[in-house]
Amino acid sequence: FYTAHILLINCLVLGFLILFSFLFSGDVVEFHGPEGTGKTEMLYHLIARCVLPKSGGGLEVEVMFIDTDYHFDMLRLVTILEHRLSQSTEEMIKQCLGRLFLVNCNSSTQLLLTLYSLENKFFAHPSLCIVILDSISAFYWIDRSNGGESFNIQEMNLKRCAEFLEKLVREHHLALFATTQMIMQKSSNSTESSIPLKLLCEADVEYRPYLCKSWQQMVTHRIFFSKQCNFSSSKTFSIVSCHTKKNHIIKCSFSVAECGVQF
Amino acid sequence: MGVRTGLCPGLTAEMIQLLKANGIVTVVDLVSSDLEEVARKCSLSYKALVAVRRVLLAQFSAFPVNGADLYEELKSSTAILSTGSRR
Repeated sequence: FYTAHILLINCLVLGFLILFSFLFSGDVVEFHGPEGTGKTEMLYHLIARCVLPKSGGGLEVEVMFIDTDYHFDMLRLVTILEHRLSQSTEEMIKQCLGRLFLVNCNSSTQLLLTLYSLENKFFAHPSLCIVILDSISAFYWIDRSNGGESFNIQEMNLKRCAEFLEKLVREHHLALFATTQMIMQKSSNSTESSIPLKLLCEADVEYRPYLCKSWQQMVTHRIFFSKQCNFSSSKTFSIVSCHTKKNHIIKCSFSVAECGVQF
Repeated sequence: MGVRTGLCPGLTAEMIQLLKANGIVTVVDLVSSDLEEVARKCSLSYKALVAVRRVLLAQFSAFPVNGADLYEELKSSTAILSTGSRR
């Protein structure tokens, strides 16, 4: 499983086609970090990898993108696809985009109801095997405020979403990628984290979990995004990937260029 | 979002009363519950409940759009305006 974890990152970096379906099915990957650390850009990189034809280094699979932040940039995705394709005709771009489905949700209730109604989509499209949720933490404060005094009511919608997502992942052999904002400072109480403190310190990562337990327990890989301080003017970002069950980490750096993510 | 009459054609006032009596008050409650069990506990028709669930989901959930269609729409509705800045 240690090699499987390295290969997950390699898949993102280099796109080993053969191993993709073996590794990813059933995986729930969380991209966690503060704003401006490249999480959404990494998602575009992932979408491109998925929808590009095999001749273009892609996987030709369909992707469901659930946008709760309302900041999906189609033109940015098209730019990245154009850079990846050796001959990018309008026809080819449209063919790639035809493998992407987008849906916007404006509340945790709408997210839950949308997930229920999307179930049919997965039955109808067997090549739809990737679900991206950007971001799952978008309604955290709204839910807290609507739930009154009871934590249970506050977390109820997200808990149901997490449970239903787990069912979808399991029954349709999907891979789920979700982003979460880092909205809390590191807690001095180390028992809150599901990842051992020693491991987090080693990885130099600030992490304070705040979403419901149902979500935290279903995540198989947690990837921490942060800005790297360096002396050159170009911005680089770093990711630290933690396998939640096996407790080992992998570190990697990347930068964002016109053509997308570059490792 | 409470379950109330007029929300969808198949949802009658007596259905709503029966559902309320069994703890189903909001749209989310109804849509998340096991309809076979609800049909049994409230003595309602399973088919009617399934139909109501389908209509409610169609009404309240967001509809997925295909990327190619969205791109077409964007091309026809987007104009790039120069800010005049030289940078």
